[in-house]
Amino acid sequence: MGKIGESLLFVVMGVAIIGLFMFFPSLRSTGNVVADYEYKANVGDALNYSINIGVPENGVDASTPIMISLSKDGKIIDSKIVNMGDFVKMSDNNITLSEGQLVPSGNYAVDISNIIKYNFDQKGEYELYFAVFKLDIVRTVKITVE
Amino acid sequence: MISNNSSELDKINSDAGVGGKVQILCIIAGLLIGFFVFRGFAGGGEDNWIKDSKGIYIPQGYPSSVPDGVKAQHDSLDCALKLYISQKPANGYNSECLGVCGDYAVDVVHTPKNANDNKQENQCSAYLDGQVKSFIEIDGNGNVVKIG
Repeated sequence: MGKIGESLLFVVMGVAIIGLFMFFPSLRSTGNVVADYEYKANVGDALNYSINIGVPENGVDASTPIMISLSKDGKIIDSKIVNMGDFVKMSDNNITLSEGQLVPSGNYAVDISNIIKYNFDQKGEYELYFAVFKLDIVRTVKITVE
Repeated sequence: MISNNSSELDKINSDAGVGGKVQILCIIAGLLIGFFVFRGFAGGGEDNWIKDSKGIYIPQGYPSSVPDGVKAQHDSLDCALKLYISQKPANGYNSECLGVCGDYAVDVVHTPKNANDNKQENQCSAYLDGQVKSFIEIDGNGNVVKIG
C-alpha cells in the first residue's frame, strides 16, 4: 500500500472517530435534554399533569424519596420531596403502608395538584421535573404557556 | 558488496516497517468501523443516558439498561435525599455537610452560592481530604444544584 492508501486510511479513521462522537450520545458527557412530555397552556391555567410511577417486581421501600419541582427559565418556583409511601397513599391505587414496608409492584398515578398547586401567571416555558433515583426514573415535562 | 547488502537490508526493513504500520492502521480502522456499524444495528444510538445541566444522568429515549455508573450516581442521589430528610433541622438548613453517600460527599449550599458555602468548615472534609472524589450539592429545599 502506497502513500495514497495510507492517507486514505487516515481519512477513513478520522471520519469514523467523528461519526462515533456525533451519532452516539453515550460517548458525550452532556447533551440537550429532551422533554418526556410537552403540552400547551394559557396564563391563568392550573398546572395539570398526572405523575405515573411504575414500581418493579420486587417492590421499593416506602421511605424512597421522590423529588418534584416546577421551574421557569431555570429558576425553581416550587419543589417538594415526598416519599413513595405518601405518594401511594395519594394515588388511585390507595394503599396504606407502615414505615419500613415495601411498596408493592404496580403503577401509581397522582395528580400533580395534590403535591404542587400552581396557576401559570406568565407566558413562557415551564418545566416540571420529577425523579425517583432509586428506580432510575428521571422525567421532565415541558409546558409552554401562551 | 557488503555496503550493497546492507542498503538492501535497510530497504527491506523499512518496507516491513511501513507494511506493519499500515496493518495496524487497517486493524484500528476496521475496529472503529465495526463498532460504528454494530452500534447502529444494535439500536444503541439514540436511547441512552446523558447528563443534564446539573450533572444528573437522565434517560434519552428508552435505554434498555442502566449502566453501573448511572446506577451508582442514582443510588447516591437517593441516599443524599434521605440524609437531607432525616437531618433537616426545624429552622431549615444553612451551609453544611450532610455526610457521604457512595463516592459522593453531600453538601447543602445556597442558591446562588454565598461566602458561607465556600468556608472550609461548611464543606465536607471527606471531599477536601480526597476520601471521596465527587460531590452532590443540594439547596435548602432539597433540590439538586450540582453534581461534580
